[in-house]
Amino acid sequence: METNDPKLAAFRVGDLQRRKGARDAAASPKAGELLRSYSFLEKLLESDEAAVEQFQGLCQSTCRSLDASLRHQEDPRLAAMGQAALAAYGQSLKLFAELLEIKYTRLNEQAGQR
Amino acid sequence: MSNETKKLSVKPSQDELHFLLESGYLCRDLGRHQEAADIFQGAAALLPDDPLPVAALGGVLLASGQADAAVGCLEKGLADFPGDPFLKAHLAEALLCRKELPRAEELFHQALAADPQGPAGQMARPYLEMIKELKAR
Repeated sequence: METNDPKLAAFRVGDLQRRKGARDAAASPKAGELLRSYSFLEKLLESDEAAVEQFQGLCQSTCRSLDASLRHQEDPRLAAMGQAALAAYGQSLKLFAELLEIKYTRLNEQAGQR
Repeated sequence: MSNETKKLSVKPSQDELHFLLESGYLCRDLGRHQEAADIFQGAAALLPDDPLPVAALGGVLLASGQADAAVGCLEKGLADFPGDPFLKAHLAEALLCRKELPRAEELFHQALAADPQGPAGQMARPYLEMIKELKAR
């Protein structure tokens, strides 16, 4: 086949994964289902509140260190790396807060059914 | 990446790195591509000697329809980590989306040969089977 082969015209990223997924289920994945393959997040969500708070505190401590290092950073590349790292923590902690909310909503629903 | 002399002084724990990477993959799988890209860019900054976040970032760019950006990101990654099979497999996938079949196939073969039982080989194998099927039509 040549470059730009028309046989590839319909190919899009994820086609292989979609083909496999179609065999299993038609519904789009939900966060709870995806967590089956996210061992650390799953373990963290199953931990008690004290352990969760301890881990969140660890992340916040790292963020404070990153922030402090940025204040004195004169190298623009290192400053950009530090900002990127802080953004990663921000997005990850935000996602985790959403997951925690889902967990507690479900727990409340289960408690209400009893 | 080529950050041998550019490393952040702050070192996160292994748990934090797992947390960041799994969060990035979860965002990707939920279709929250911008958040996933932000996370993998940050992970790449925290792990300048590891090609995994760069490969993941390339995969997210590709999943969000930015094939050219994905190729650029992964080409740069391969320049920083020459010969890395996981990056090669991701670059091959991006090239396939740009319908650059010969180079994609070559890179998939290289990835499979270098890492037959690992993630690069696992990624390359079904693509090579698909390419074989396409060629046979």
